[in-house]
Amino acid sequence: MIGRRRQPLDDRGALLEHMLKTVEDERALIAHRLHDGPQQLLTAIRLLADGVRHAMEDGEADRAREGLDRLERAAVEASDELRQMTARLYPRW
Amino acid sequence: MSSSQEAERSDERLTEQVRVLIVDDHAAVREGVKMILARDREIAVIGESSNGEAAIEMAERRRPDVILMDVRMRGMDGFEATRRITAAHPSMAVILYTAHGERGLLSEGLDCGARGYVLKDAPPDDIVRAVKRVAEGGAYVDPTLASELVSPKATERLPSLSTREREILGLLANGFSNPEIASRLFISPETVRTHVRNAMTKLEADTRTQAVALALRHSLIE
Repeated sequence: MIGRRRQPLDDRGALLEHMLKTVEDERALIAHRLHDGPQQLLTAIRLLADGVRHAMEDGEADRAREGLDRLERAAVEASDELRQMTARLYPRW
Repeated sequence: MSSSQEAERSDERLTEQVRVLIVDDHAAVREGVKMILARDREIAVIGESSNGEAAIEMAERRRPDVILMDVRMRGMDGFEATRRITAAHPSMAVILYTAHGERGLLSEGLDCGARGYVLKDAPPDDIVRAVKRVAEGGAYVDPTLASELVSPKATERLPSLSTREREILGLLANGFSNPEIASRLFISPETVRTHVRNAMTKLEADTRTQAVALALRHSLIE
């Protein structure tokens, strides 16, 4: 009797465990993508901004312009990656 | 050695540029680092690689003095590449350049033969400082991590537990069960078991209790 009644509970437990595992896998994937994409690009943007400031202080206009072009591309890339991730998380946004 | 000899040696050093290889799987990060290093005339960036295998080949071919190496890369990671490069070319200095500031990773990196460890959120000038320091034969560890090296805890060889593993062992030490830990951390009991198992392997513990005791003894948890 007890054994029969426990069965559905065990199924629910297994289902819950599976759901939690799925949610956690998704969270791990998001963390990985955030680290690998936008976070790296923001590191690059910070370095490039610092490089451009020094180039300007040194009067090296070409190097500064080149740095700004690269900085802009990195910002566009970061923005694209975040947009893609947002769409994956909640498509209507 | 007299001070005049030392002065001569440092003058010689100034006449040569430090040859640097940049290894990172993000082109934008490589560009940023290059821009930071370009402003110092004593430093020349002689190459770039986007993964460990390419870095080994480039190191062989271009013979840099210093290699600035990312840790997490697709394919061969920075630790393995560092191990191979420093084994084959002991004169080359590798600086690990990473977003991860955990003590375990720092220990692992230094074990691999790296002579420097710079965090990606450090002020950009620190990269220049680190390159020059290791090129002169010294070592450089990010100031926020340097205290870890001189603390009594670090004098023993510590296993590198992840933040999650430490968190879970800490909860076990406080008497929580696997299901309780799972619901507290919003993860599945299966994942809790995996973390505990991994921590036991790292600590070379036969039981959960032994793992908790070892972690407490090494001050890996409080």
